[in-house]
Amino acid sequence: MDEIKCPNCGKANPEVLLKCRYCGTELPASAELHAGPEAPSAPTLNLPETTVLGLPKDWEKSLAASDKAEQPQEAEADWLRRLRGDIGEAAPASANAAADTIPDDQPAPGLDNWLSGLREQDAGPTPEADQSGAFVPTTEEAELPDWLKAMPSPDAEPSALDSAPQAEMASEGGEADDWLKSFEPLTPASSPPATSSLADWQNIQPSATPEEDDDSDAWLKSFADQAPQTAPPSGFSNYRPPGAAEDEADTEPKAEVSDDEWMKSLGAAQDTLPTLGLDDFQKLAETPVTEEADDSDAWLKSLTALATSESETAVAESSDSLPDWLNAPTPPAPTVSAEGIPPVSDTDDWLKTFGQIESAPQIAPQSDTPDWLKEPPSSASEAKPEPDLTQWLSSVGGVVGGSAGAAPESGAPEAATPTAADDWLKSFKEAAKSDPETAEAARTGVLPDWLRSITDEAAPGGATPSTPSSSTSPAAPAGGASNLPDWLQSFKDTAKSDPATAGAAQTGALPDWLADLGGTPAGGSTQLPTENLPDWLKSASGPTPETPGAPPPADLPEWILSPDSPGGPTTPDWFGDVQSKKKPDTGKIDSTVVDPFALQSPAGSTPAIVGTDWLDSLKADAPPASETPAFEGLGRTTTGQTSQLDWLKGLTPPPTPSGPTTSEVDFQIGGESQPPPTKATTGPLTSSDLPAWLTEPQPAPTESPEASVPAFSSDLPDWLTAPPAEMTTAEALPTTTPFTEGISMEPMRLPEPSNLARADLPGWLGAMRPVSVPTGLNLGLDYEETAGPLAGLRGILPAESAIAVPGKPGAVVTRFAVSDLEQQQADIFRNIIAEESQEVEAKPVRKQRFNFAWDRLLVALLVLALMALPFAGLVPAGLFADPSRDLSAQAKAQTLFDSVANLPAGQPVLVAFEYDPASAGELTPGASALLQQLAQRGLEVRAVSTYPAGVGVAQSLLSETSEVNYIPGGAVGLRKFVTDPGSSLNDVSAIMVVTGSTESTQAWLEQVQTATGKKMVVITSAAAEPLLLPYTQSGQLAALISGLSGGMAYQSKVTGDSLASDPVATSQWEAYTLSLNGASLILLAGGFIGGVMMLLNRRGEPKPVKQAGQKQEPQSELKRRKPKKKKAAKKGSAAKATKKK
Amino acid sequence: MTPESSGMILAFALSLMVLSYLLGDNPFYRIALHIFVGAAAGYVAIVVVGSVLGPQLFAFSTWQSAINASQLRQDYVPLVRITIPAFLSLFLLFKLSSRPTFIGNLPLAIMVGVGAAVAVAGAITGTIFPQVQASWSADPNIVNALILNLCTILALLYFFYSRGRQPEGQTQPSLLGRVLAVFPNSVITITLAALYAGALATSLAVFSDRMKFIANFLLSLLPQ
Repeated sequence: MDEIKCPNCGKANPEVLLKCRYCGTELPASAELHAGPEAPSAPTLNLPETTVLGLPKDWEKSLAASDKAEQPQEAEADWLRRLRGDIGEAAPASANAAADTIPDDQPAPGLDNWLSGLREQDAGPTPEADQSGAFVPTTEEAELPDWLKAMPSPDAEPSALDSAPQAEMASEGGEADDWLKSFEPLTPASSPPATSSLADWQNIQPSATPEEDDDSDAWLKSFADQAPQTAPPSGFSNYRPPGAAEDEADTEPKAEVSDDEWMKSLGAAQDTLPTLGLDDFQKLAETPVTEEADDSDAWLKSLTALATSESETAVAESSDSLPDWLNAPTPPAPTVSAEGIPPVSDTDDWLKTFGQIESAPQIAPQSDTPDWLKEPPSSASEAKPEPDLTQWLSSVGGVVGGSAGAAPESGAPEAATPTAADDWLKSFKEAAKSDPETAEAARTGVLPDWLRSITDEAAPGGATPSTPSSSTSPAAPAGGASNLPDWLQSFKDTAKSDPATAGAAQTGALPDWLADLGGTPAGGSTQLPTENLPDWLKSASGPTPETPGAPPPADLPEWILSPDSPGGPTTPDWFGDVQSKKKPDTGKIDSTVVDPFALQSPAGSTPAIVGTDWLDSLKADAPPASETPAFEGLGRTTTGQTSQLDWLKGLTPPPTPSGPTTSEVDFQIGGESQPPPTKATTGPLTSSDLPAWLTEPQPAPTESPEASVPAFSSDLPDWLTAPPAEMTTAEALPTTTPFTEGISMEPMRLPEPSNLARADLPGWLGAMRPVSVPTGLNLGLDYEETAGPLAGLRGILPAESAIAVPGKPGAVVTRFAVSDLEQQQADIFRNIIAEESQEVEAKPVRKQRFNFAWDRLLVALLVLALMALPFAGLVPAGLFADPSRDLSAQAKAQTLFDSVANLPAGQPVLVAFEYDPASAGELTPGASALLQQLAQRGLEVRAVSTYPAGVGVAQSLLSETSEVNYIPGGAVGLRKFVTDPGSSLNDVSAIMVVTGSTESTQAWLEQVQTATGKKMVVITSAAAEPLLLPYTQSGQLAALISGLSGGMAYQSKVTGDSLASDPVATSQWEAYTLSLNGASLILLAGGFIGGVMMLLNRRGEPKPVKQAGQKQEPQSELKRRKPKKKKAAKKGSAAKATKKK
Repeated sequence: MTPESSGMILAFALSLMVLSYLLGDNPFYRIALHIFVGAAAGYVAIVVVGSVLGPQLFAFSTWQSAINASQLRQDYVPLVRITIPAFLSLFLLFKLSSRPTFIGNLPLAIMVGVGAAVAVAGAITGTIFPQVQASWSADPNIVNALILNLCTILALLYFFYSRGRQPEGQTQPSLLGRVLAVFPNSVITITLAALYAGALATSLAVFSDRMKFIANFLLSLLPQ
């Protein structure tokens, strides 16, 4: 394969590459920029031009060609058939693969064969190909891509490490062989092998700088040193590495392998693969690795060593075109006899190249080879036969190129056994054991420089002998951490500053967490070695439960050590004591204290996070609460369960230095700086380490912690669900990690607290603390969800809210403060409402027919009796005076008589009868007397009435034929009567009105008398007399007689007879007088009786209660005076009462 | 049985029926009451129609005379005098129905208005002025005059209803008002008592008359 010289760095790069693999510069496509004089011995791979993706540029063509295949199925069958055939042919190849040299022209058996077969298939069947037995591509496959075509056809001569494939590939088509050729190893001291086989690339020396391949090559080197010479996998026996001669590949007889055989070969190859188990890794870890300059080439060395002894020349011939990075020193060729090699064919060719490369002479590493692939001089000169590597490889492929390839082939079946696999592993151990330095170097060489430097700095004491319990992380090389990132650099600085933390280097092959996974350590220590732990991790760890004061294991990193353990890291104050306070788990949620770091549910000790039981197992016994927790009040749970981060408890801080160190972190929280905890006392962080805002008083602890039950224990492996006590911190956590090895990780410490007093919680604030209300929810550890997607899990919050939980609602509602008065009023309202709803039965009430008013009836009967007595003759005569004898009556009667007597003669007189028949009994005597007197004088009487019934009354007094005018309209009619020109009032001398009401009299007076000025006399009733007397006194009325007494008196005046002369009149008069007197007496008696009863009632009425705030209604002055007297009387009575007592 | 005797018997019966009201409301009393009201209403109707409506509205002669008067006077005043009241009277008939009742509002309004005017005018001229004049007229009896004037003033003070409002919201007359309110109350009480006495006397007089009638009837029934 041609190489292109990088225009920037000048290093050789394979032609197939687009960019320089060293500096990244884009490589020119020109073939002129080739690397220097080609090493004839270095096998090269002429890879076809590839695209950016690495595909050959003519891959499309190849696809098109394949599409144009007439018989694609047959083509596929052919190439498979040929592949199998090559494998079969390659099986009886020589076992001395290491010694055999494969000419360039001869294709490598095994793996090379199938590739060449593919190529031949693409080009078409040729007699040469057929004869050689190589896999010749058919016509359909003749259009295979060039890169495939370039692959050498499998040769008839099977060899484990066949360098001939290069030539074979080159014979096909130049460029197709290049890429394979590039895999040919490039040894610095020897010429590249003639054939470019796949094994050649093992010998490629990377041109890496010493700084780069320090550590990365170590593991490779180890492989190279100890790689057994095993035959390549049988399935690849047909592969012909680039550089193998095409002729050879064509001349090789095709190995016709049946369908089953190739599969069997593959299966056999798989069976021969070494199976690495845990023990192997452990063993590997135990074996010291020698420190070498270029450890990255170790594994390559092992590979090259296999082939060096057998196929040095072949490699030299075939490695012309191989790039430098592939021209690594080949591992030693396997020394297995060819007889033991399983019957594999050309499929092992590519692996043969391994042997060729290995057997080829050591090629001097070129400058273009990356460093990590470069074989160290020491290892390059060594041609250690490494049968183990080739053996397992041959067991996979079955054939190892060349003499080296033969050996693997012969030993392939044996290599398939686990012993072969163990051999190369053992080689690691032996190499490490023989040379501790080299082992260490090898171990450290596995790590990159940056990691190595860290480990070295973490272990300033130098590499210590590895222990089984130590990790496999090699110690960092001394003074080689220039490339460390800053964050790791800081760790190293901290490690340097604290010699206490610079514990023993982790020299164990296995990490402790791996080593201790299988069993329970003695004592069930949950503490991690804290030697290499940083302080901040040491402080988080708990004390060692076994020996609280005992020093932690030396091999444990400090960051894992418990703060309590001596020598362990100091717990940073800010980290706090996650597990410090042993507070029983009451199953209640403490809202004030929630541990963000707690890995369990707040209510219980059940781990909140799945699979954290292993962490629980790491917890040490939590120190008592009296110890200063560093993180108190941050919201940690009030539980002291061991299910919390006990592993952090084990992280004991180192002894408190005199003053704060640079590694300490002055983390003041709440203005308080916590003192750095001491090793003896520090366990979990206590309250004194915490700032004030973190050290809030915690509520009452809950119930005692129950056994931690993982929430998801059904599907977890045992190691996760193991009881906490079974695992210790050392078991759970690795003592050291590649990242922390060698780093002194001191726990961060908070500075000494100042004289700030802890703030007391004020009462009002404490009163605001939420009170745990029994929600009725079972939040205990044993609560198992029964609904929803979390059914079956424990230790989780219930899916249903408290609202949905059936229970007594309003149980927490406090009672209303109701006073007695309000309660009474409420009762009243309640009774009122209840009464409204009650049904009231309607009681039947008898209807009283005679509802006598006995008092009225009595009075009525009395009056009736008095009235009837005179008529019965029971009243003595002369008992009552004659009305004519009544002076007042006589006077009034006299006036009327004189008025009428003085009327002019010959002028009519207007007499108005203004009363109805109901008043006739009282007014008829007077009216009749008037009419009698008018008649005596011979005056004309014009009768009028404004009452309709008065017309009849008038007619009853006058003759029935007399004309009586009816004046309608009341006062208005009278007004009209007066103004009517044809009215009869115009020539009347006087107006005599006989009326029973006051209104009519007033109407006549106001309308007629005022308008006419005529004399007006009135005969009225006793009821109207008081209202008409003013008119008499005013002179508007000439005369006025009223009532029965006035009429009778006027009648007696007119007639000249006394009343006695008329017995009926007398009876009537006596009845009237007797009843009137009787009524008067009754009124007086009734008034008297009523007054007495009223007085009696007033005395019996209760006095109104004067309510508070209500002002008594003001009383009149007269009433106000009375209380005073009463008060005085009461005082006097009270005084008398006291005196009596 | 003469009409007079039947009348007396009927009257006697009706009198007793009315007096039965002393026992309470009873059917006899109701019958008597209804008879009286009916008879009275009938009699009134007869009188109104015979005395007013007939001769003044329906009488042809009235219209004839109005027409003649109009012709005589060569004006329509007499005719208008009879025509307008006629129409107004007819309008009053609409008061019988709910819908056209508004039509009868006009004559009612005229009647009420005219009546009020006449009454007020008459009251003023026939009562107030003469009475006021009579009150300050020289009365030979000075005591009577003083008493008269004093009681008149006090009676008028009784009808003074203005009160002062207290801070609490209560209304309470002043002390002078409370003092003066005692005499007006007495005067009013005496006046009302006098009126009541007269009404009592009138009723007893009427009752006595009835008793005389009954007695006479009974005596008439007695064989002489």
